[in-house]
Amino acid sequence: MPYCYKCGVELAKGGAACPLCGTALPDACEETDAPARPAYPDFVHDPDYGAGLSGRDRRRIALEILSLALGLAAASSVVIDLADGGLGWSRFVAAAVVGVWGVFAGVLALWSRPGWAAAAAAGACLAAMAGIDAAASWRGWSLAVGLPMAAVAAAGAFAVGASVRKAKRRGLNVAGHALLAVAAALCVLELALDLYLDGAVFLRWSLITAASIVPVSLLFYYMHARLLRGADLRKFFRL
Amino acid sequence: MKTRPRKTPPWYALDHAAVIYPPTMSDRAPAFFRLQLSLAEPVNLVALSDALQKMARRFPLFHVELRKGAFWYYFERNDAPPAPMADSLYPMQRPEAGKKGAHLYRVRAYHNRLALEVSHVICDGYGGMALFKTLIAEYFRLCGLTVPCEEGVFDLDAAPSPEEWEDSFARYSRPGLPPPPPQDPSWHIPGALLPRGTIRITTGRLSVAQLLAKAKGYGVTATVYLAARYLAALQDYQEDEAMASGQPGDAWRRKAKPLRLEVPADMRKIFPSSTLRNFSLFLEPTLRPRLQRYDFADILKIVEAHMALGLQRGELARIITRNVEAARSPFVRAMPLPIKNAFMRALNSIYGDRMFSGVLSNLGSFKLPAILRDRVLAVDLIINTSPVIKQTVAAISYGDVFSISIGSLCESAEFERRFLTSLVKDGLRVKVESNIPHRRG
Repeated sequence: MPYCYKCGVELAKGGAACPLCGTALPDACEETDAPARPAYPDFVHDPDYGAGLSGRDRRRIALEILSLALGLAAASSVVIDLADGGLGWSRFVAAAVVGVWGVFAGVLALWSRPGWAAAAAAGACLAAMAGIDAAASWRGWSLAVGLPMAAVAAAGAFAVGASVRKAKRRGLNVAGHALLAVAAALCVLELALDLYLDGAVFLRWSLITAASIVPVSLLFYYMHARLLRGADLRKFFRL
Repeated sequence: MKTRPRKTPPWYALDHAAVIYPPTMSDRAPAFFRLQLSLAEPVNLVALSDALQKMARRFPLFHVELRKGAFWYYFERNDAPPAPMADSLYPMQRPEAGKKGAHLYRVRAYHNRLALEVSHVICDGYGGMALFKTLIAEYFRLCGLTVPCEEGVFDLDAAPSPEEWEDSFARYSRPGLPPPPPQDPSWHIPGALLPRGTIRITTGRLSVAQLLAKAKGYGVTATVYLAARYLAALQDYQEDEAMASGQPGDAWRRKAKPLRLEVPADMRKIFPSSTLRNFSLFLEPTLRPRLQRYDFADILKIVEAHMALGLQRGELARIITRNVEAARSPFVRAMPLPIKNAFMRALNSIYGDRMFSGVLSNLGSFKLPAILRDRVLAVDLIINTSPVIKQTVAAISYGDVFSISIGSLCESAEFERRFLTSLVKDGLRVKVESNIPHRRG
């Protein structure tokens, strides 16, 4: 029977070191006649694996709840508006509700294909904006401003999602990516608004906002790289 | 009159000791305990699965899942038998409240090791042992043995008695008793924690005869002896930490926190009850390093006196009454569950984690029918710990093997080393194994 000469305890066969003090066992002490099996398995098994609803079931239920809630909201708006004398403001509500439903339904239905989900969400946003634009005697802002904004939002969400998926460690770098995407989206928004309203581009407030946001995102990247890779976070935060 | 079949499964209330567990359960404090057997032969999974199928009718109390209500957690009946599952490097992971189909007990197998993990939400060690012994007996019956219903093995053909799921705390509450005096916070082992979801189990096995002889030599029981060794190890640890922090002489003693153990005691021996649900309270042997440094003989006397005083019927009744009356208070009843959860966590911190430096649970002798004695080689008990207390000690004996398992959330195995080597220095032979290798603190 192997034993630790420091602690004086006997040890199980096959152990490389004393579990109490870490003293390595000399080879001579190890018995090799019987195959050694560790006291516990060397893998982690989740006991609740397989119990409960699958991710697909959860998304289906979420879509049902969302459809019911938004459908009731749109229907009650239309009924109230009709009781008030005609179909007026409720058209905007209905268009917005359809847009919100389309965004979430697209994401939930295309959960495993993030690129397609982002495109579907952008399409739903654009359709909702076009609906609102049409309801307010078509002025074309939905195409001139909404289209580039929806495209940039979808591209930004896709880029952030893809970079997060590829990242080996996820932490403050996700916030950094998201802030950069917001800064880019704001620049495109001002660009589209300038073109639509004045016909000329003069970026001002979006650059100021971006100049405020980008340093914060750089700080997040720095903290992520320094704390996660350079130091032990568990010790740092006493986790 | 025709009765329509019930469409929804029946539900049950948690007992008065269990209500504290669901709000305080976490990855680091899963509120589970584990009984594990080493068999002479590898586990037969087919027989084990068949044996589990037969448990639901005799033990309806265990076949429940935890659900969230508006004001309280509650049990919902789930008669589907849990399938045996693979064991894990880190046992006793937390169940998810509200997850459909998640049982509150698990049976796990690994080569010749068979383990039962039970949530404290449904029962204490007595209830867990009853289920485990009956399961083992049925398992061996399905393997071809004739196992009698003795030594705590329940008859699977008998109907469950309503007394088995009685909330005995409610029965023995005596409104009007003064509450126990509040205690000051105790000292806790310092140091970084292991990652979430992981726990280090260090098991030391020794001879029952040797241990009893040693305890008898001191004129105390095995539980008192182990509690005294535990407190002595904590006292040394606290002193060394104070010295390491550079405080001169005994100056640190002026601010030294007490060292207090939580030693669960089975109330069935004092208040007649045959419930399988929780019915245990704890004793609180305490050392006060502000007063003096205690030698081992002093510690033995203090622990013995604390245990004797703590087991007085009146003292226990007022703890029971405080717990039951707190849950019956209209103010507490009216709280929505999220607010109640925060309230319970605060209570647990004040009256639970912060009050104790450690936990020592001795389940006593695990007996099985004689025909199984050669087929079951060893029994271990592992109990829940928490990120504040960090380490707990659980003991159980089977035949001539006394098993002491230390569950620890500390990165450092320093406490385990101090405690187990103190037994070795006292002349006991201890064999040690662990689920994860040593890591220096």
